[in-house]
Amino acid sequence: MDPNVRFHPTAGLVAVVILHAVLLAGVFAGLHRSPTPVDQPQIVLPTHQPGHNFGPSVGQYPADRSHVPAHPKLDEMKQAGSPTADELKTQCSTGNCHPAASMTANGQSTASALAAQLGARIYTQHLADGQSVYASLPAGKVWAVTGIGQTQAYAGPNRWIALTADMHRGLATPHAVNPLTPPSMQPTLPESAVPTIPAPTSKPVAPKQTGRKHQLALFLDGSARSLELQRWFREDPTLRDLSANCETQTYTAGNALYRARYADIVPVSQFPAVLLLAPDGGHIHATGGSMLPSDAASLLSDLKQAVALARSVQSVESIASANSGALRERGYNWDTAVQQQSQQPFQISNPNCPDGNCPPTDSTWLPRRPGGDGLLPLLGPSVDSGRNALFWLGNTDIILFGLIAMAGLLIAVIVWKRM
Amino acid sequence: MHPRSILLVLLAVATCLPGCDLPTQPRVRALPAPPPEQPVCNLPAELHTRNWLGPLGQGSCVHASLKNHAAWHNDMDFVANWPYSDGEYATRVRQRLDDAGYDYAFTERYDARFLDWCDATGHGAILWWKPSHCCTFMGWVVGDDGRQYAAILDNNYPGRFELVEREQFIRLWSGYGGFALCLLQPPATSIPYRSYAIEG
Repeated sequence: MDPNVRFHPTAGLVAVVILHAVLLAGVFAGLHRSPTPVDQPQIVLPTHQPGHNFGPSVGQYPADRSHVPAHPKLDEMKQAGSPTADELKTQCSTGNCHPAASMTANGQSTASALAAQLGARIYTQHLADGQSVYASLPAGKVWAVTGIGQTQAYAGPNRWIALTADMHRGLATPHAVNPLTPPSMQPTLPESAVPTIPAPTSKPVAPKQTGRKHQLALFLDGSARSLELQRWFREDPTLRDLSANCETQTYTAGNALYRARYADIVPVSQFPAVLLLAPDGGHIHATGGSMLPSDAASLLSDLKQAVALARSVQSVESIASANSGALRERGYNWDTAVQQQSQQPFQISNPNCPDGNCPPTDSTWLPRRPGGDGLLPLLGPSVDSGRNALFWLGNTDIILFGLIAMAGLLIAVIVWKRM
Repeated sequence: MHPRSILLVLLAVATCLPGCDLPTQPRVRALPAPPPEQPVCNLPAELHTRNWLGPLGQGSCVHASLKNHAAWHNDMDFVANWPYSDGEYATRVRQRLDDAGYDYAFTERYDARFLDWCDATGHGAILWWKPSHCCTFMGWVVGDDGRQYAAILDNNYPGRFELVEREQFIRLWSGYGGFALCLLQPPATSIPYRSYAIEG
């Protein structure tokens, strides 16, 4: 090339180069897809309203336990007979398999107030062997305290509708999401609804952290679509792995657990349905009925999109920490495993104890459960990266790339002309 | 065509086209989470199996507890077809589960961490509780006083959960042998709640 050649970029060329750079940045940052038609939503998940207890309140029993007789001391109980792990467990050797122990409603004022509030009866029972009296509450119902003196079992209307409407609105819009507001604080009961209790005498219990995995629930009937859905989860590798890595359950209309716990949320009319939940029950994706995709690939795409939406408002830690596994073997002995864990030699290379005096091994070690590490390896990490815009061309992208190609060609022509 | 004219045409085209098909980004808002279900293994009362007398005239509390435990894991086949009755002891119940191909974890040393794990993972457990008896551990319940209480389903009294303060429970459990066992199957699905909403 002639060293005396000088390049004089024209204003037009500079403007086009800048404009192309800006548009390229917009293409790489923006991801979009054509909106898909949204059917009439028919599934609504319950929404928690701050100020109202959402779930059961089994823990609400009288704090005043003055009515509870002192229980026998441990030594006295042991003297009465020390059962071992291998003692035959029957408690019906006398034929008293259906004991009619006397049970009376607790007449204490505090208990009555709470019982009235909860709509439950607290039973006290003196066991035949003179052991402690236990407060108890009816099982299985989901109690919701909605106000002072008002308690009702949670049995809301069909709640599937609004959820799936949101899901499909989310699916019809681009992947990139912007959180609107930070998550709300944990709601509490109105102050006036909380009974007066003595100051706790024992050490407060730390908040419980769930150790559950992500949950996948399939609601099936005998229809062809249900069979097809099952086939997707059998044959599609990613869906199959997802099913294996989640806590997967299948429910039918006749299933007693379904009737008791989910019938109000996922009506039979919406079968077959798919529900993907976070470890704490927070919905990630819900679809069913006419909104069920037509093929496995679409369902998988929907799930990935839903994970992206859910992750945008969840902390990564809450997802990543929800996995622990158990050794997949029969007769897994916790005691032996803990003993072996404590006997493991210290690692000299442990960066925490370079001098060899390592801290005790982790006493919180837990057994691993069957399956993999849950949701993220399948649906999580790849979702945020989205598509590579260089290789995905929509209508606008084709035109832009055409412009880029032509600009490059023109620059080459200009340089060649100058040579 | 003059190169400058070409450039002007391209500039005009590039100016007109951007803005079409631009994505509208959805705005996602987190919704409040409800308090966790208590106890975590909130088995509906209609699924509680009551204890029964077996052919040998013995109570079948272990098998009734297993059925309650399996029902929580949505293993209705177990509930309907588990073939055993009468009294049971730890080694034999484990052997029978092995023969049936069930994975499980167990402790015989009243290790409270095992029950903590069973609670955290939503499994629950069967355990020796009360003299010569077996019940189902349904999870820990936090009372208004901030203490933890064990929720126990006694198959002699189906339809309710009995609550025992944690420290007392562990002491008593040790006196009953300290055995507990849980099936390693997925537990029942949590009650779902709407965790986020899409706006815009």
